[in-house]
Amino acid sequence: MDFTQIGEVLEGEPKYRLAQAKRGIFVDLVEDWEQVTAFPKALRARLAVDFPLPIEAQTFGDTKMTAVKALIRLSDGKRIETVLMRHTDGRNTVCVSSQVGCPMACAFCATGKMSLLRSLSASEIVLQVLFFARLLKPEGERVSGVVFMGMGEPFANYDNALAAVRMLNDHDGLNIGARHISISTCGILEGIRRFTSEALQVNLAISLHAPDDKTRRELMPVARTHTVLELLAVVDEYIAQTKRKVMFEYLMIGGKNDADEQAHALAKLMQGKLCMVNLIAYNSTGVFVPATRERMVFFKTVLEQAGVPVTVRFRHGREVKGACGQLLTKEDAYVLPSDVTDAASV
Amino acid sequence: MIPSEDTIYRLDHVTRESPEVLTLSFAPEAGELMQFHAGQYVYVDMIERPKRLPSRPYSISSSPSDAFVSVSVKKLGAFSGALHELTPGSRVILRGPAGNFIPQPSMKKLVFIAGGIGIAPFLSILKGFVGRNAQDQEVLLFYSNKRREDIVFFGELQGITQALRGVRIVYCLTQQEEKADEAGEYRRFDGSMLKQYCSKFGMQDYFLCGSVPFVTETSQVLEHAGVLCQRIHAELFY
Ligand SMILES: Cc1cc2nc3c(=O)[nH]c(=O)nc-3n(C[C@H](O)[C@H](O)[C@H](O)COP(=O)(O)OP(=O)(O)OC[C@H]3O[C@@H](n4cnc5c(N)ncnc54)[C@H](O)[C@@H]3O)c2cc1C
Ligand code: SF4
Repeated sequence: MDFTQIGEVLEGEPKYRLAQAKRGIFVDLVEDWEQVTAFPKALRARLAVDFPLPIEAQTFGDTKMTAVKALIRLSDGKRIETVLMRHTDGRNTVCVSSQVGCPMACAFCATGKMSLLRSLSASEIVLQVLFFARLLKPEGERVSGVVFMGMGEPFANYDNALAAVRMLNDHDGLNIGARHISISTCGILEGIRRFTSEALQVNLAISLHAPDDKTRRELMPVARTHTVLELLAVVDEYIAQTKRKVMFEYLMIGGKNDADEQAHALAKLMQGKLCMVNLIAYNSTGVFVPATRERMVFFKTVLEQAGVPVTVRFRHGREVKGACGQLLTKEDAYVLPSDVTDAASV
Repeated sequence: MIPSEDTIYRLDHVTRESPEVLTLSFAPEAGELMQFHAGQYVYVDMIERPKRLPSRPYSISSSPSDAFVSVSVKKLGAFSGALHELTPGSRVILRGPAGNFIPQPSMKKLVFIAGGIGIAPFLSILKGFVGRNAQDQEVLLFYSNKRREDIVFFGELQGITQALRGVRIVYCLTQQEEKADEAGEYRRFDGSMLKQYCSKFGMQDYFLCGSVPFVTETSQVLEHAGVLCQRIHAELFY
């Protein structure tokens, strides 16, 4: 489904048909053109062929669970992961992928090991949200937020990621408030600079994962292109321009980035910044081990003592969706802890 | 930092560097050529295509004093393929410059390590040195390719080594059978090569450019050899 093509498909029809079609897709969430009764029968039949609405996907879990994963099949047969997170306060957040695979090759990430197969179009990003919007509809629920934390680096696919944000935000479409959309980047400085200049109300999250260059470079190849201080200077500029709070994600990996001095270094970097740190239990992909609960509590305490707002996502029960690079490639359902927070709550 | 902006450029001419690589040279449709530091990149947006592709970044391979802004593009997929189809006169938006892959004037001893088309920003930097007649600049460039035919800018690079006495180039071919009469290395850049060429070089800054795996592997070689991470600067072609 390429939403940018719908106008073309409707060429020759009266102008108001486009608004009706968009309403059918994004507001009424129809899965079959037959449900758009305002359209003449012949048009419905034609659209069923020229612009089919079904989304081919496998879901793992059901909407009663705190997290539902879906594997969506794209028109070229490639599959992407997308996750619906259901929060106790009633929010429903979709975690979308922006690429098939990812070129950034973070050492802790299963997606990074796949390297990049291709970037997603804006429609393919929106499709993931539409899929869950449809799934929630029978319950009278809607998707309230979107986080770009699935497979891929959104700023390595900047134009399409931003075009998707605008489509998601469209009042006549899915109408997801910009404040409820978050983009998470591993630290593409030019992407952050450009994002700063967009003057959008969208949240920014940064995968920091280490306070020192040496560790960060071991974990994330992108960290070789800049220093932590250069990254933070660009983020400071974002904060100064937008007055928006930034979320820093910190995956806690045993023996790698969970030492006492790293906690203190992190606190020092974050102190006084309009930000919040999200400590995330590492979901092992084989190479590293998760930090212990005690280490996470230690980090939390150090940050709190420094006056830095902090949330913690502990590992809980079965596998957990945490941050970019923490989506499971295992094809089973999993649940989220009840104390889950996500970037959309920033 | 030079402020970044979007400007319309026209493709002036195309130079074939190898079967897979073209250099595209652009001139602004109106006004001045963008100001940039050698080593920076631009986002190229092909505004004239019926189906607009999202813009992609390309390192500038021309020098800041050239009359054009050039990018050298290896044909890999959809975007680079479309760039290879552009004809002179085509309009594009060049957004930039961007990036901090810029050797500082205080860095008098430099080691450059390029993987494949990762040579592009180094060509710009080296041409900048020639332009300034920087005879006191020491540069050791390791230029790694799979096979001999992948090497681009050979003539220009040789010209640079002739113009500047401080510049040396080591060609590394990783998938090529050795030819007795040719200088160069027939292996990947590794610790022993670093030792062989750089042990007497003293304090220096390392600039690495190429694919994500190339830069990751090469910087690990340097780190293993004890090079401080502040001295390793990288550009990733992701
Ligand atoms: C800062 C920066 C500077 C860059 N400078 C240059 C430059 O000077 N010259 C240049 O040619 N490119 C450069 N690139 C890469 C460029 O932006 C594109 O990614 C590249 O041209 C491929 O885009 P595409 O759409 O043609 O290929 P895609 O359709 O994205 O990919 C085509 C196929 O090639 C594979 N592939 C993609 N990238 C690579 C890679 N790097 N190595 C191996 N396989 C790959 C993909 O997996 C896919 O199978 C730079 C990238 C960055 C981030
Ligand atoms: S952690 Fe995110 S940016 Fe890094 S490789 Fe994985 S998906 Fe890409």
